[in-house]
Amino acid sequence: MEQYTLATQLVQYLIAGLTIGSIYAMVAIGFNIIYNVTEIINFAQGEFVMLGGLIMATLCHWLGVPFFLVLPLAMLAVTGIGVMLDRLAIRPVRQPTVMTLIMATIAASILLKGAAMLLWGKDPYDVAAFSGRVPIMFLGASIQPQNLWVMGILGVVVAVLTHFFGNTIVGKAMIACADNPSAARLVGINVRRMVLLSFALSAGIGALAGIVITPLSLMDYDRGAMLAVKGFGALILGGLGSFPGAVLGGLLLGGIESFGAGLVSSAYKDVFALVFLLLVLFIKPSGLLRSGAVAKMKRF
Amino acid sequence: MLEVRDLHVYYGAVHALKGVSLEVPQGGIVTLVGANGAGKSTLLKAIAGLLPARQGSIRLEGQEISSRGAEGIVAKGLCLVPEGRQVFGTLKVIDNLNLGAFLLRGGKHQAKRQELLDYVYDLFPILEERQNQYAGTLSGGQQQMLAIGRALMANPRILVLDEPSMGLAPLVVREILKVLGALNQKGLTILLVEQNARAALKVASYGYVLETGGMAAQGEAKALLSDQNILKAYLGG
Ligand SMILES: Nc1ncnc2c1ncn2[C@@H]1O[C@H](COP(=O)(O)OP(=O)(O)OP(=O)(O)O)[C@@H](O)[C@H]1O
Ligand SMILES: [Mg+2]
Repeated sequence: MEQYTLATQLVQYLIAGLTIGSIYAMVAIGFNIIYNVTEIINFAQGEFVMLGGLIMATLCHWLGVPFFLVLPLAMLAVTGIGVMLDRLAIRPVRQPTVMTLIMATIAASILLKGAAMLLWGKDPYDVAAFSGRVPIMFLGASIQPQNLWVMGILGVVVAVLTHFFGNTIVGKAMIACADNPSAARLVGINVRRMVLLSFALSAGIGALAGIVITPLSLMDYDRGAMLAVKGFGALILGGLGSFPGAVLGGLLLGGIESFGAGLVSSAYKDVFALVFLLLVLFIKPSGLLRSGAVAKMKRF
Repeated sequence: MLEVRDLHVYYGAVHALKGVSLEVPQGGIVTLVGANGAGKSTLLKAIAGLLPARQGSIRLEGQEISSRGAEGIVAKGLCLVPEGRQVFGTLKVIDNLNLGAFLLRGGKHQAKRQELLDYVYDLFPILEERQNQYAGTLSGGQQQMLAIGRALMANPRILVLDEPSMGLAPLVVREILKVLGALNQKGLTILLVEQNARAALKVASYGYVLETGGMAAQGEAKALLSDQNILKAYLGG
């Protein structure tokens, strides 16, 4: 029966890894959307996730209305915060260079975290699981339905974004802004509006990640920075700017963390992820899914 | 159609255009020539709204456009084909063309967009052949055709081109100039900037010579071409 137990455990770790990996992937996707349009790394990305979870918790608590009515509200609220971030922190910068804009996002992340601490205190908040907490048995492992929700929502985000960037003219316009902003203006694209849209989109996706993970791991004001670091790691792992890379990097990082924690020691789970990240960067500095030539074209 | 009056443009402290005036009549084809660094691109960028004018006016069909910003000027019917083509290399040819019609997006312009696309494919059949290729993989000449096609997709009434012949083989240059001539025949107003002054003055009806930020000469294209002094002084013999 020893064999059976190990196999079960491995499945359990895999599920846990894919779950947290899906969150990292969503954070990485959020980074990418803004990076691709502006070349800015938005350090407030993790804060969007944190705010998604906390706002959701509060709305559920106050309104007590069915879950799926609150979810769009919480996303909308965080999207609004993303829009404000662009309007109040990015656009007013007088001499915008990539560096000063990144500093502005760092400042914004500190501000958002502080505000969250004042509003929600330091305690973690819970949100009801989307479809209960009765575990499902799968290959002998017990899985929370919420685990499936997390992975499913990553799937939906990927599908929607693939359609958006692949088939819609506004999606293509965003790519055009990243490719050549002045040429984009010459065909009538309002580049500033596209930058705004990129902040709104990533904030919405970040919020969704926060909402869907809170039932599994709770949420408090202090979680944003670590999520941003992991999401950024996933991004670098997969290759800055690449969406398939973001997903792959997120899932890999989540998997390594989970197996490392389960098989060796949970005290070192962050170490495994970072060592793996360093190894990949050592062997292929442009990330797994990105060619060196493309990486050189970007100013980073 | 287009009227520039006493235009001054600066790059920081650099006074790049020092009171330039120019006029392009409705249905005309006017060329602006001049040596490297004379300020030709600067003038076109100011007209297209990419650079702010410090002083002077730019009027399109009588309306002041100098403070509208690039997006607004495209909407008014003036399109710039920028220096160095600047196609969206990471997007496909067809996406580049569709983005050209960005201001005509939405269902109600569907028929118009199709008409424009057919028109562009008619002018440059190679673009239809290559429509699913990434623009960055096209040859220089094809990219120039794409840049012109993209601008035409916005359905402009005046087309402004910045050195479309740059870096291209003479045969390709001739083809592109021929297309510009044909477009003009169909009623499109054109302002063409060229370093290749002889070729440009041959297709144009009127010409301006820009030198270090100011107009040095202007006149009927034929007259400029036959004026030995101007040819020697500004157009390299
Ligand atoms: N971004 C800039 N910053 C500062 N000075 C500039 C800038 N762009 C151009 N200039 C200067 O302005 C002047 C005019 O440049 P412009 O590019 O308009 O010339 P041009 O006539 O288009 O030349 P070319 O034939 O090489 O394209 C030049 O002296 C150039 O050095
Ligand atoms: Mg030039």
